[in-house]
Amino acid sequence: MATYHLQVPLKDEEIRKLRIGDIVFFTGEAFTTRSKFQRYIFDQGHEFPFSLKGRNLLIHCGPVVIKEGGKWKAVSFGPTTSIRFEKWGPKSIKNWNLKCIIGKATMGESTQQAMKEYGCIHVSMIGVTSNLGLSQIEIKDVFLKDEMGSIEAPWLVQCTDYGPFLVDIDTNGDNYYDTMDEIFKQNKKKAFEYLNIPEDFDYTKLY
Amino acid sequence: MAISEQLLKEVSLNLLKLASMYLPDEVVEALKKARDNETEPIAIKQLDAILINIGLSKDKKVAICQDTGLPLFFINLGTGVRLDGDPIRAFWDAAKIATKEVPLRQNCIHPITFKNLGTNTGWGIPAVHWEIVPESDYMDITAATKGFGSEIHTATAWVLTSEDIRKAAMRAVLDVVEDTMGEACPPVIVSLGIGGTSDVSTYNAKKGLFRVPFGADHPDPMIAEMEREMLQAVNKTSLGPMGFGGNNYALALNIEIAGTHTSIVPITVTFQCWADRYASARIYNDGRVEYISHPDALAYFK
Repeated sequence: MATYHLQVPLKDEEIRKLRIGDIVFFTGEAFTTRSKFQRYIFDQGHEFPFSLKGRNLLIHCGPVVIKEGGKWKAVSFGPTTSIRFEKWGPKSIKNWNLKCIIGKATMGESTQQAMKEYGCIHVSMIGVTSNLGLSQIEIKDVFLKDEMGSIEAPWLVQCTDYGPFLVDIDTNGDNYYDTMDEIFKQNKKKAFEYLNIPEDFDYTKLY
Repeated sequence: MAISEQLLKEVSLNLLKLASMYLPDEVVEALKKARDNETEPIAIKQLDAILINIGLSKDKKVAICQDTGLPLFFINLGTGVRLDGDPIRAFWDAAKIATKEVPLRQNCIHPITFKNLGTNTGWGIPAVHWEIVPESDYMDITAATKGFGSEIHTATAWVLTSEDIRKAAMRAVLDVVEDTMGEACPPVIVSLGIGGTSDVSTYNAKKGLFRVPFGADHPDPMIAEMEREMLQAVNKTSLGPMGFGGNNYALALNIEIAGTHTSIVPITVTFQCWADRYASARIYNDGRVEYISHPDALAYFK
């Protein structure tokens, strides 16, 4: 478990050396994405609304924002459940040249595969704490706000040592959650033992 | 004497604000206790971050999580209470104002057209659950802002009465936890609605998430014992905070029961994330208000 402070645009060689369990912070630009935006781009065939040059850090997030003195400000900004975006995971990585997705928990096998192939990682925020990051991010711009609404629209943000995040899918194709699945299976036995329930106990499933 | 719509609106608004920004002291204490008994380094980091976040949102008066959820109200209405005006309008107005003033994320949409009124109201939301309490002259209101990261892992198991129900309940909980892992943002509150029809077991499970006061035992000692055992067992999975390993997967496990059909028992399992966002108050017929979950509520808003 090592700690890294990375600069965006993220470099392929830096991302490839990270392993599950490592801790990372990011400085540079990132943009938010949710499913309405991915549908708009991938399913409805619209053009991407801003330049992706040097922008290879994506955040699964629908922030709470206010306008203060004509400027957008996030009042709550935290990564959200990533598995919801699995359908567009591989396409986002490939077409948008992503090197890292900030989200929550894990993603599915096809995204994991794409991460291995294209050199991208998934990270989760430690504690999933929407306010800790507020001093570390600044909103630079928003696109398609009228079409998408403020939750689903892509927000472009400037990150300053934004983190800490835990690497949970790495470019080896390893997934922190797979290791937790194994630990869970072992400990499920302990839980049953504690309750004096046979480990293989099950009840009749009707369907 | 009657409780006016205006008073109900003011109290409901305060409750929604408290729920979204300020976790009840009992919940924070439970998280601190979890931090103190944690041994896994990653779990300690998670809990430290969570505790700092809770302090920041309370001090800065901002939402604890960007998913500010959907607003819910649980009402225990004394039969001696008289209401002056439209209580539903009071709850809806409170949600609309809270959305602007906190602000809350504009989460509520039509389920088919996805139209968003931008107010966290519409099409039956905020949901208001009423229970009538005989021979009482007050109403208890619990407001919750229910995030969906934990909501989506709600599941119902149907267990035949030919089975050992305690074992089956434990098995059902562990199976649901195995499907959920860290996605409900642990340390969670787990709640089980055992018995009833499907609607009743789901309602009871949801109600159990917001048991007041936090951490109270079920009044039936047999069920309280099941709660303690199952809480221990769930924590033995070592999934820990955010599902990345540790001793604290759940802060509390509550069970609510209802009479059921002779052949089968529904067991609904549901979750609340560590941001256990609820607030409750009691309003008396004569207009007195007590903030139960947040005794310093009025000072907080000054």
